Amino acid sequence: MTNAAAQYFRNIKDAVRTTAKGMKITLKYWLREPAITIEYPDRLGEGRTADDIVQDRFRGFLRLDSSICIGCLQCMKTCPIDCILITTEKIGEERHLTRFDVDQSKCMYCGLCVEVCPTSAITFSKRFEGACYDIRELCISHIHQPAPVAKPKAKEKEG
Amino acid sequence: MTEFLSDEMVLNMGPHHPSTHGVLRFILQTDGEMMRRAIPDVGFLHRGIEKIAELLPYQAFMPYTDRIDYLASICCNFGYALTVERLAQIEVPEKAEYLRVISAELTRIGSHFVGLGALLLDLGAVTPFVHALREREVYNDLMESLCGARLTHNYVRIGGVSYDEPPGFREKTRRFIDHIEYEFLDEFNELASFNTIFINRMKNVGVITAEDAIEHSLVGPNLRGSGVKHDIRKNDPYSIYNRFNFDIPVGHGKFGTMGDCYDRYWVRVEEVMESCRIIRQALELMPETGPVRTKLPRVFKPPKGEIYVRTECPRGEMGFYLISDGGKNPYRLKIRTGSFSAAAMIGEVSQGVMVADLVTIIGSFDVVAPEIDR
Amino acid sequence: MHNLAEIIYQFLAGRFGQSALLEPVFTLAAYLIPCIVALSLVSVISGLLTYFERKVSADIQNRIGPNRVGPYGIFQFIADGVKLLMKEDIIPDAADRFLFRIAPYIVLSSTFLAVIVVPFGGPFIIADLDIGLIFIVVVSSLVVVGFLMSGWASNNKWALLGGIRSAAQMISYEIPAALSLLTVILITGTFSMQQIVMKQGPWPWDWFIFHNPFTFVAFFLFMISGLAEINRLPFDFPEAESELVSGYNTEYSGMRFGIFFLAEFANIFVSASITATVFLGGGNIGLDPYTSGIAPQLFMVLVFFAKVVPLCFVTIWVRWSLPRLRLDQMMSMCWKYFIPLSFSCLVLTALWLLAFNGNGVFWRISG
Repeated sequence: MTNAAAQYFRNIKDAVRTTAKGMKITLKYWLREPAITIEYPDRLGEGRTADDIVQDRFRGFLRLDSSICIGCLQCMKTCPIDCILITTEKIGEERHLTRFDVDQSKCMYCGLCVEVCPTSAITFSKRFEGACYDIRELCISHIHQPAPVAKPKAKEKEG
Repeated sequence: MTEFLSDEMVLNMGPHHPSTHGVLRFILQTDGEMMRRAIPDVGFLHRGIEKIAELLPYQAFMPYTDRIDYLASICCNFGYALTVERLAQIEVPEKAEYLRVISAELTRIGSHFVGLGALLLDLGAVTPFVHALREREVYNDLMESLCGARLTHNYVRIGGVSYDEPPGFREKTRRFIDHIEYEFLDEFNELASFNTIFINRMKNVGVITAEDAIEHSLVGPNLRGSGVKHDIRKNDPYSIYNRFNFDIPVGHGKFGTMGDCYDRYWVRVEEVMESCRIIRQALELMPETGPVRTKLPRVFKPPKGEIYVRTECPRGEMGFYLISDGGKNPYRLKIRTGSFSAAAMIGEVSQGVMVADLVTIIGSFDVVAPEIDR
Repeated sequence: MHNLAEIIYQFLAGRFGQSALLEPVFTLAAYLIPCIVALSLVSVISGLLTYFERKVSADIQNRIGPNRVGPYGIFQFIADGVKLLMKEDIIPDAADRFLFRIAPYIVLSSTFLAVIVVPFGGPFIIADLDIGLIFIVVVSSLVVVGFLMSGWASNNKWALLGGIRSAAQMISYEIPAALSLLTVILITGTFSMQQIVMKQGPWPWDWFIFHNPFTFVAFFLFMISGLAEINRLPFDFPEAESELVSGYNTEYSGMRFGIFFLAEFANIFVSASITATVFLGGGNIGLDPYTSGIAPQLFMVLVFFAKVVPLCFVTIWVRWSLPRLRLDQMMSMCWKYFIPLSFSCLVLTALWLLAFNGNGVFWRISG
């Protein structure tokens, strides 16, 4: 009987004590801890842009440097979801890139194409703001007029 | 008592119920608030990942392993990479092994934070959840600086990892785990874990004995919560886990019966601390420089054969059973995940509890719906 | 007794003269104006409370909270209200349309009725009823009817569970709440809210919370059972969003949903103001509320709100700190802990009054 009574009051004491502890912590946060929120997009702080809030290695939209692309189609072949479409055509003597489309709405930013590229022509940018009204806008053409492919210099150097 | 039983009410909990952790459905047969049975209905998130594996080259399947368990993508990457490496007998550079272990353990911390926080959210405590996610945000930043992605990391590659550590990574990681181990967890426990209301909600609810747990092939923290000391990292060490000194936390009935919801919860809290220990040791031992990736042939074809490799993911043992016919795609890949057996167990233990307890039980198993269905 | 409706009637009658033609107009005005006053008071106060709650929860969780509408986002609640008004008002096909429509208004009306007897300090009280405190206890149980109605009429099992939970919870917790209020009634000997305020004094040792040790306990008992009465965490069973989706208001949308929330936040205010009035001396600054000038009267209002706002904060603070109990634990807490404790407080206070001739503990200390 006394045991049960002691337990009864111990329960009350425990409830009060642990509740008070928890509430002390939340009170501390209310009074002291500042917010850690980044107010994207309009209050990023002095001179900061959306690019500055992501890290250096951020995997954003794909970017192509067509001057060093050798048209090897490695990226197209390695892409697990076929979101890269490249066509090359022989115009005159040289091979030309006629189409280099990346469907950013499909892309899952896995980075396999970037790793496989022998000349680092295809890289990640830090751009991540892909909201648009038409999903077709996200299918980005990197080649607007046929461009001659680069000679695979990097490979020759290696050899 | 039977004469008091009234009509059964069939309740449909899910697939978009707030506390079913993803798209998971339960058919509840209840008598008012008391529940007779809960029948889990899985399959809403079946994406045919195992079939996709048969259609893709070995390396190209790696991003899909992120999606098996999106809260712990690196652990899944790790398991798959290990499977292919063992089959093809690829040596992994020393530094890559350390980076893999560090990132996998960081992922375990991040994943457990979501698991613990979501359980508390289900019990109505929003603040601990937000605090846990705040710390996970630091982990996200760390991983973003390491591999460029915040959720589906796709960091581990067959034969290594994709990037070397960025400058300042060790320092930042050390600061993060120090903060977790010495400051955050203490505060979190004061705020949530040791709260009387929380303890009363968790103790003696959803009790699973060790025999039951083994019989239903529970794995990971759910198994260890029932007092079974089984951890692949110790029992069948893979990668370089045998170099580290760490304990396997098991449930011992901290507040109620052994194997109740609180034990499973507490095992996760302790696992976070053990992960911190492993990371601290790995950061000490990791070589400063060195290659992080073995060069593979452009068209990678492992030899003919089959292999089963199991790794310890945050949600328990994840096994990859891989059959290769010597071609460039896997012939068959079977993935065994921890959440699947846990989902089956939820139906078993939730007989005769209250509706509110079902929420606790689901939360304490820390199931992730895509991992159940794959 | 002070009564706003009567004052308005007499003012109008005195201004325009009494005539049989105008009398119905006067009567209408006399009853409509207090209603409008109560309605606008409750709307504005509960709107501001939603803002306050969101800010406090944001601070507790390292967030910023509403900060876009107006300075520091203070007009967020107006934007929310406008948004809710423009939303489609969906009534489920299988619902009991009539009950479904009126349920929110019943919930809200109980809150309004309670506001009538809340003394805002000074002469600012809509009606100083003789039975003020009992009136509050009575009308606050009307909420149960509204919740049960909405739960039943939605024809949704989650909503039904929420409605039944609310009935079980609120009826249980009404007992400790009323018993802890009764301890104070023993001291005052009146139910009139204005009288209760006047029997206390401006200083903390004049308040009934420090009258004797048992009223001190009764204060906390009332605070906690008040939390249960107004469905706040850790007792938010009727809506328990992680268990019952959203409980009784699962099927509600648009302004009907908004009215439920208006009532919830108005209830926080009502509960806090009852606590402040009964235990913390309300707007008492040691002057007579009716005869002193306008400046002291406004100061009384200030004092009243200075006591109510911290109490509202505590309500919000508790919500963002604690997890929810389970239904059976909540019931056992009520019947095993709250009712025995509040009842013993009542009896012991009675004995105290008998032993010390109705004097408080500070009378003993000061000799």
